[in-house]
Amino acid sequence: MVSEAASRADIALLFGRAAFGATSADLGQWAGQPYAAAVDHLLDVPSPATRAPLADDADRLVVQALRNPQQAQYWWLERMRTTPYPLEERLVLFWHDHFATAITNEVTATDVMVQNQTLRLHALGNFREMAYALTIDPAMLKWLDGNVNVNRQPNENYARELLELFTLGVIPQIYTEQDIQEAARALTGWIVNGVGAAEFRPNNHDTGTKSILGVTIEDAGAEEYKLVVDAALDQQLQPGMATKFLAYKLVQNFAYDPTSRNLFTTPDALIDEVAATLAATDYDIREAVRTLLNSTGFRVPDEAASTQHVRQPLEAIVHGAKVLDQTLRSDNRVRTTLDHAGQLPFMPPNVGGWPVGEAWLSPTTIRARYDGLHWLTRLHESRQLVHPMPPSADIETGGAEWARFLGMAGFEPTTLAALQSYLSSVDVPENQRQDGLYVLAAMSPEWQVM
Amino acid sequence: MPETLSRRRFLQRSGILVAASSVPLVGRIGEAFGETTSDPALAERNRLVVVFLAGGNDALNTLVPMGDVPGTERRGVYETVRPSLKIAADDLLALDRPDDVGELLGLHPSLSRLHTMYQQDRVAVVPGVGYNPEIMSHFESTDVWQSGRPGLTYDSGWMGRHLDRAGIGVGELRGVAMGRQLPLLLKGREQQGMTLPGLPFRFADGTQPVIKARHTALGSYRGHPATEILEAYYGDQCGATADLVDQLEDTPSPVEGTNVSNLARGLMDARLLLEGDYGVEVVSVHHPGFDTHAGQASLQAARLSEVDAAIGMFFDGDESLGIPPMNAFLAERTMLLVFSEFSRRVRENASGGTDHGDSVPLFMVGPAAGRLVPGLHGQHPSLGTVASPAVVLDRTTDVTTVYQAVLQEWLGNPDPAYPDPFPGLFTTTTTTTSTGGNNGNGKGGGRKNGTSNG
Repeated sequence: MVSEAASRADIALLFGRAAFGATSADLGQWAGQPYAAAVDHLLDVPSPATRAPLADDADRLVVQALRNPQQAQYWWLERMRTTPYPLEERLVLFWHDHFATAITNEVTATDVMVQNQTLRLHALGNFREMAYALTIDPAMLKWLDGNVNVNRQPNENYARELLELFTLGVIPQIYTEQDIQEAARALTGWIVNGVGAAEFRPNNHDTGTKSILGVTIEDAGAEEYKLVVDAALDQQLQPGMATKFLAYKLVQNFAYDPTSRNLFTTPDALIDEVAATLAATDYDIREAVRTLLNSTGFRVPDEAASTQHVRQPLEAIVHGAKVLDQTLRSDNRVRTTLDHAGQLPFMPPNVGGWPVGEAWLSPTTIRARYDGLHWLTRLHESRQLVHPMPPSADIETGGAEWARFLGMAGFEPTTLAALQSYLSSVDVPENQRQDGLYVLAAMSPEWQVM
Repeated sequence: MPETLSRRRFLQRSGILVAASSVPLVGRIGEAFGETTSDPALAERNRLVVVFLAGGNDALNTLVPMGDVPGTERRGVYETVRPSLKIAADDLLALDRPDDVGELLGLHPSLSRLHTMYQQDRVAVVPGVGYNPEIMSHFESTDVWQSGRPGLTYDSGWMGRHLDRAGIGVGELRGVAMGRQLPLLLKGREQQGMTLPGLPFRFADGTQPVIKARHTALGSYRGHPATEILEAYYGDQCGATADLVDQLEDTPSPVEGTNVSNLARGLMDARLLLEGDYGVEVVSVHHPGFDTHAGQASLQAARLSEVDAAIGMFFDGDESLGIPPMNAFLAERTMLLVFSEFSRRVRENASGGTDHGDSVPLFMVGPAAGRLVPGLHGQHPSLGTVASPAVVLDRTTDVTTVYQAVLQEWLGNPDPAYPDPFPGLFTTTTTTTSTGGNNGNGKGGGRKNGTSNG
């Protein structure tokens, strides 16, 4: 039975999974308050379409025009760190993973910055609208060959991934190769024009009748791509497939990796809860996330069943930088460790997106996470007077101050023992002790896996 | 078995290198180590390097029809449906060993070193390898090839299950994945391989004693309470990381300071580990960039050049870079397996590329004086007729039979769930002489001499 009031551990977990980590201020503000109120607060985000620009929005447009991958990455890292709406940004990261698109020779940094803002516009909006927008997004058109998909010779790449990765999944697989071919036909006619915008060319469009997942689609010209998305989201061959699949992706990215991928033969209670909200609201993402975050399945990890969240490299680095109030702008060493940890923004390994769970963890990526935190301490060295770390002596008396500093409720006894053992084995100035403690504490199992 | 239970076992690892027990023997590249290894049995056993070409390499422009074998219209179909992508017969590197020349197949022009090795009886090719039912999704098809369990759940890799059956000894780096992520290939149900991004392997904060105190503390996270499965797994990985750094922090890459491809670097770092006394038996490397839906001609040529150079350097070194050939002791016991998750459509598309297809040619590259039976095996898939071309290259050989041949004949550890091995890929006894030309040893069924299937 979970209490209405949030404990410090509740807030640490909620923010740790859904808001790039808690600061000590977050713990102070929300511990003791109703848990649902903290959730509501995180979801209370005005639409980017209508709200006043954030402090770095002007910069976004400048960086977007630069067509420079590193600058785009730095901009987004800083947005993740400093946004007043961390759950929005956490969702933008999720959507970037879901509709995974990477910078290539063809897909430019400008294209992905444009896509990034599109993801932000719909992040807490409606998934149907999101899927419409991504289908004719310039980066996506280039990435999955939508821009060379013509009536004379259709290209199936986007159609396949739309069904397999973006809307329905393959377990069970309810679409056929024929459906993919028909969907490709329906999606013909789009190009990316000379100024990088999507444009519909009627001459390239297949105007015949198509049949996708049992739905007949007559020619609808520039509106036809929406009908393809609708055919997937509204399909009746396996009712509930699309809402379950999207719910599965949300649970997997925010909470835990479900033990079964077949959501019909081996249902998961949390997935079904989130799927029900998606179905009842016709794909309202904000409400689905509210259901997810408020659910006991999310709030109380069942450790025996392995329902914990291995935090993605970006989550760890952004949280690490947040607690130090340390900018991530323009430091190539930290950025490079993100690459080695397996997660550079705008560079997912392929259209399937980033790994999940223990797939993140190997000597290579563990080393990269460690190195990234180390570089943060090097950046922070000169700022210790203004934004100090807690004294190392705090570790000798239980580490409460250090835990709060890192947005946690407390340390595990094994972690505390390791930190104390480290302190007793080195004879170095206080700032070096603090740097060592910071890296080791942020590398603790309970900080990296929440 | 309930899925939670198998998942719990899946996360219990023991394939972790233990520091201090084995003395790392990493001499200069190319030096023999066999005589001085800590365990002669480890030195003697065969090694396998799996090279995975990610994206779906176009088989038809890799192993290419040079002419119409009597009874087929192979070259005619090829030229008709690939007006822009077709490679002129004169540009192809003919598979011209006497047993193979009748098949009129040639290699892509980028594969010159591989072709030379073929002429030295060091390459076997099995075209048309696949599984039933065909799947054209990258992710699922990759899962099938890596798991070796078509039509079943992809919970482990065929090499991972080999590690399960064989076990991993203390201090033995038996299975290694070069790169950042452990592929399904090397995940067993009990054991798993270890990833290695490259050499040297050290933390960014250096190697001073006061810094190494941090690394020791990190390693001690291995003791995290086992009730919290993912945290315990994370802790184990921290321990493995600290151990590996301890072993490899002073070991430079053999291609340090060169401009070679990532694949070459991965293979050369792997070679250094193979030459050292770590007990490395299975290595996995992968090379992306083969999903050529558009602009295939230049993309595939570049990728295949990289593969060719890397394989050549791995076995035979590179004079310009001062890298010697692999020492003979190791070379006789090392074999590469090269494949992709599927091939591509017979007909080109409107973007100068090809879309997803089906079966792939599996290349085995290896022992100059060893047991691999060189040349073409199996049956090239039919291309149909000019009037009615094949859509994809259909499967003619089941992948599990080839895997079983490798497991049984090369690694000595057959998978009890697999069918009988594909015959004729290996000689039954180790031969020490192999002259070029007609090698009649051990070529069993599955190979059609003189007739082809189109």
